Order: sequence, then C-alpha cells, then structure tokens
Amino acid sequence: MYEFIEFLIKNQNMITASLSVHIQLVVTAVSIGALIAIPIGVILSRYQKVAKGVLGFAGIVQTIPGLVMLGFALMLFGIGKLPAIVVLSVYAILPILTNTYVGITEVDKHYKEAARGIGMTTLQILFKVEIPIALPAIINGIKISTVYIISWATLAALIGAGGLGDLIWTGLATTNDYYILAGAIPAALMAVIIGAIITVIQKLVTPRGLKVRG
Amino acid sequence: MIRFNGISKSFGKTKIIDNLSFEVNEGEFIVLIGPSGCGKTTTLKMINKLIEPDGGSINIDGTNISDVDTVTLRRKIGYVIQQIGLFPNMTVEENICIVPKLLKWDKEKCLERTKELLELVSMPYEDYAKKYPTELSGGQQQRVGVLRALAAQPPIVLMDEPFGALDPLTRDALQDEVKTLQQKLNKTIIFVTHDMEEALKMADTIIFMDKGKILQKASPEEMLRNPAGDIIREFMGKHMTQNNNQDLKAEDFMNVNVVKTTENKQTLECLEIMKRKKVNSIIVTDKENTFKGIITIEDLKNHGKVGVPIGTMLNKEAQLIHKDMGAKEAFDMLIETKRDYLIVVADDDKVIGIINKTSMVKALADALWGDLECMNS
Amino acid sequence: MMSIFNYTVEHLYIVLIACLLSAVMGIMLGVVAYWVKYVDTVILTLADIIQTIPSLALLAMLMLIFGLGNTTLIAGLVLYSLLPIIRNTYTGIKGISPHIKEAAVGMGMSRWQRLFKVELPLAFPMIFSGIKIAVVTAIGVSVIGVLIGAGGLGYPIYRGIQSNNVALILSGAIPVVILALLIDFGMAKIENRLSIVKK
Repeated sequence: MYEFIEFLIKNQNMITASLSVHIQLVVTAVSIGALIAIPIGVILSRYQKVAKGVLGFAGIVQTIPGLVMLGFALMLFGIGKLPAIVVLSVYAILPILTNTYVGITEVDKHYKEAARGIGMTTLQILFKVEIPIALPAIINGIKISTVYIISWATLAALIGAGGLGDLIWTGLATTNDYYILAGAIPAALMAVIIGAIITVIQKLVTPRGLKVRG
Repeated sequence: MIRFNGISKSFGKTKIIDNLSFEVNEGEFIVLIGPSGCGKTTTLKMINKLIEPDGGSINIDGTNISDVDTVTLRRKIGYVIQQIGLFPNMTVEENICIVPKLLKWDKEKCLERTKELLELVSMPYEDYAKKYPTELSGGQQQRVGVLRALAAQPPIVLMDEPFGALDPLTRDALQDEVKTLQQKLNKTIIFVTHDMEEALKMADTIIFMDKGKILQKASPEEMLRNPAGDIIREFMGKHMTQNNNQDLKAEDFMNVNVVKTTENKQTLECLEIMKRKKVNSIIVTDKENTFKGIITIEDLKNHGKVGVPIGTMLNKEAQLIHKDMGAKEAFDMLIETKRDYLIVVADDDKVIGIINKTSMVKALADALWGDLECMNS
Repeated sequence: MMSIFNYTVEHLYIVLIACLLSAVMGIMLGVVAYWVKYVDTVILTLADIIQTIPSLALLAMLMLIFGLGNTTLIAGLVLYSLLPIIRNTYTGIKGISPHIKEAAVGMGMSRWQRLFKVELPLAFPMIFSGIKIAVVTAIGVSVIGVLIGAGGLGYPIYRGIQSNNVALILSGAIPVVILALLIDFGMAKIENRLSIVKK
C-alpha cells in the first residue's frame, strides 16, 4: 500500500497527464457524437419509416466490439488520437440518437396538436415544446454515451491515443500492478463521478413540471 | 362571421364531410354534436386549418381562410382540446402567454393580461402563475387551457370536447364559467361534444351532424321540441322520452311508494297505518297483491268496528289504470275524475303504484329541467 | 477455420458460465433487495456503479486478484451482468399486483412459497429480459478478455490488429456480431412469447 502511494506521488505528472488526455478524448467524442446525433434524431422523428431502418442499423453497429472498430480505424487512419476520436464519436452517436428519437416521438401528440392549433410554426414547436419535453431523455442518452466512451477510451490507448488506458496497457504488458491500478482506479472513479454529475445536471435542467407526472 | 360553403373531406375512401354548408354569427355559441365519426371534430379542425378540406371553402369575415397564412390565422383563433395540452415544461403563466408572446406583445402587457385572465377564473396570480400544469387539478388545468385560448383576445374560440375528461362536478362548474365568459367577452365559440346535456346547456345553436351532413341546425328548445329524425331523438335519450308525452307511460312516473294493506286487517290496525303514513286512504289487496278496493278514513269512521276485518267495508270505486296507459291520458283522467289518485296495475290487476298530482308535477319538472333524481324519493 | 469454430465455442462457453452464475446471483440479490427494506437502494446503486466502471479497468483490477485467464474474464462478466438481472428481478417482483400478493398471503402461503409459486413465476418474463440484456452485453465485453489472457473470439481480433490482418480481424468480429444478433433475436422471441403467456 505504502509503495503504491509512493508510486503515485512519483508518477503524479504522468497520471494527471493521462487523465487529462482521457477527459479530452471523452469530451471531444461525446460532443461530436451529440452534435451529429441530436439533429439526426430530430430529423428521424419526422420520418418514422426511415427511422426504423436507421435505428436498426445503428443497433447492429453497436454490437460490433469496440476492439474491432479500433482495429479498423488503426488500419484506415494509422496510429494516434484522430482514429480514436473518430471511432469513439461513432460509438457516442448511437445512444444519443436513439434517445433523441424516442424522446421526441414520445412527446404526447396532444401537445403538438395544441401547439399547432395555437399557431406555432414547426420550428417553434420543435424548440419550445418537443425538445424541452424530450430533454431529460436526450441527456440520459448523453450520459449513457459518456459512460460508454470513458470505457472505450481505455481501449483507444491500444492505437496510440493515450489516456488512462495507456497506464493499464503498460501495466498489463510489464505485469506491473501499480500501473494497472494507477490507470484503472482513476478510470473507474471518472466514470462513476461523471455519471453522477450528468444525473445531477439532468435533474437540474428538467423543468419542475416534468418531474411530477400524473 | 364564419361560413362553410360546400365543404367536403374524405379520408381514404371514407367520406367524412359531405357538402357541408352553414353559417355562424358573431357572438354565437355553436355546439356541434353527433355520434362518433359524424365529422364534428373534423369540421372544427378545418376552421383553424388543422385539417384541409378537399373541396369547398370556409370564409371568416368574408375572407377565404385558404388565402390566409395558416400560422397567422391560428393565432387569431383560440383552441382548447379535451386532453388539455398544457405544455408540461412551462408554468401556468408561460402557458397562458404563449400566443401573446408569439405575437410579440411586450412583457408588461403579457403580465397584465395573465393577471386579468387568472382573475376571471378565480385563480389568484400569486398562487397559481408559477405553478406547473402537473401541480394543478384537472379542472384547474382546463381552466388554464381555456385562458390560454383566450389570451390573445381572439374573436373565435374552438373547443374540442374540452370537458370530456373531467368529473361531473368540475365539468358542470366549467360549463357555467365558460358560458359566462363567452357572454361577457362576446366570443364566437364553436364547441364539439357528444353530450346532449352539455349541448342543451351551452348552445345558442346546436348543429346535429351524422355521416358528414347536418341533420338539424336549431336552438336547444327547437331541437327538444321538434327533433328532426330518430337519431336525434335517440341521442337526446332521457331528455326526449320525458318531453314527449306520447311515449311516456303511466308506469314511468307513478309513485311506487304505495300504502297498501291486506283485506284481513282490522279497523284499528288500519287507522294506525293511516296515522303513521299520514294518508287518509289505503289500497287494499289480497295476499297475491291483486287489487280488492280502497278504504278511506271516512269509511272507517262510519262503518268501522273494533275487531271487524276491513274487507267487509271496502270501497270499490277506485279508478284503476293499466301501467301502459299514456301519460297525457292518465293526467287527463286524474283531472277529470277529480280523484286524489289513480291506481296503476299490471296485467292481472296487481297493484304496482299510484299516480297523484305529485307524480304529475315531477313528470313536468323532468321535462323542463331534466331528470331530477332528488324528486324520486 | 476449425480454430474459429473453437474460439466461438470457447467464447460462448465463457459467456454462458458467466451469465448462469450472474443469473443465480442476480436473482438472489434482486429478491433480497425486494425483501429487505433500505437494502434495495444499496444493492441497486452498487450494481449500477460496477456497471459504470470501464470494462478494461474492471478486468485489469480483477486480474490482480484472479490472475491471467478465463477466470478473471468470467468474474468480470458476472459483475457486469448483475445490474440488469438484479434490476429486472426487483422491479419484476415489485410490479406484481398487490391483489395477487395479498391473495397469496390470504391463502396461507409462507414467504418462500409465495416467492417460488407466485412472485418468481410472475416476474419471470421481466427477469428473462434482464438475462437477455446481460448475455448480449457479455458477448461484446468478453472480446477484450484477450487482453487479460482469456480465450474466445477476442484472440483472433487482437492478433489481427497486431499483425494488420483484416481477414483475421473479421474472422473474429463477424462471429461476435452474428452471435450477439442471433441471441438477441432468439431471446426476444422467447421474451415475447413469455409475456403473452403471462398476460
């Protein structure tokens, strides 16, 4: 235990650097994912026939193991952060896309009818009614994505993206328990903490009116 | 104010609206009623272009609405739906102010208007403005729904079964409030319902629709008096049967709480019953409930002796009527014979009730004000 | 080609063992959560946290305890699969109509009789769908087991990546995807039938 703490202190620069790279990877990938997924989810909610096909395809893509995707990215783009971010972004899209789509299509049609009857334009209905009501679901999608991506990002070290996965890799390769722990523990904490933070944000942005249902 | 000219609409192969023409005057409260699928809701939704007709035209104040920008048109027409449709992500105040804000009213004017409107339905601004729809009761939610429709002072308000989901007491209160508001603010209201009682209560004019056509357009009284066809009569249900004396039978309004006794009872027992029930005559039957006669307090005083069964002094002159006798006939007979009551019997002279003046009054009251349950007892 | 078949069998074997263990433990924990007040939040939160931990981090830490090999992977998969099974068992039993439970109490059933004769059978469709989620997730996660020395279809994939061999990667990846889709599809069918029978 003492030795491990000593190890941590000695390598604190390296560990914090890995952590910050990891966070960068996750934030970039999830942001790109959200920027792509939310508009597509909104558009799909307008074309439900197409949506079935797209979401079905997305479901299949999601079953492809992350390791495989990373492998292909490595071959296509070579080693580095870029291929990692591309792959991670693709994975980040899926949960956000499904949740945006489901969230918006599940907005009670009476709200939409009332909004139209009142004289809102399509865009006003989208931004004032549909998206606010679907927001908790969308954020939940972002949460699922973020937790996934924190996990996949540890694998991204395999193709030279860096991050906490790097420490775990080094540990596994050199059978150095301290490296493994120095990578695994912060990664685990990061996932749990960020998950909790997003849950709090979700509660904060949910209007009071949507919390007490019925 | 609003004029439908030969409007038709089909969904697929089904014709929903068939060459419909009618007119609504300014300040009129029009109720569209009819069996489900008769096209009443479709008709309503054409006015704010939620549904576009296949043929014909709708004019509002002389302008064909297909020439008016849809969004602009809707902002000038209030809209209330059964499911209320208050936006759950907005407060009461935000919900009420949606249309004024869309119309770019300034903040102060919006605030003023909200206060004024909440005042109208006795929901103080301080207590309710910042609440969310889910924090209100169903009745309060629909009050806000109505206010939202009125917020931008539209001359026309469309209401699609707005009280259908409310409990009877709340519904009743809201009907009164809306009717009062309409008269006070002089709005033209088009109101869809399938509840005839509601229609009779609220409407200036009722339009009865079936299979996409108007069967009858008339005032509530006129429709009650002269329903144009069996469907309408059926729809009016109890309002009709009680109003149409031809159909009402003696047994429908007889009093079933009859003071009866059997012929083997004795004088004193009989007097005791009369005293207890506060009547001065009793119907006498045998054990099978077959009519034997009546006995009055005079009969008992004149002929009664202690220990003698009443069967010996029965008065046979009572007027019997069959339960299927028409109401008008029964009433005429009651008045002509100058009797206190007529005895209603079934096929084999079994006594089932009496008709007296109270029964008449009740039947009349029902016809005028609907079924008053409280008078049955 | 023979070797791919072997990897597939090994992959399935690992997933199967892990999910069986996880199902037994998960249902037990779900029942405990249902039975014991306040414990439900603790159990559900813990399972939730475990599932949030990145799979590689979890496996790497477990490796320190169980060493390299299939045991570590199975342990990791068990932990990973617990959440959906616990949650579905718990909500499945909780969701049974109170009238039915009352009737069972009224008939004089003991707590265990109620559990085995009424509550678990009625909650089974829900529990089954939890197991389905667990199995499908496990098929995907077990691919990275190769990094902690476990077998299965992750092996050809990893080898393929290391040697830049697309065919090798695909020879591992395609069976994984097919397995996941097939099992998802098949179990969803059973799930539908179960919920119809119960209704």
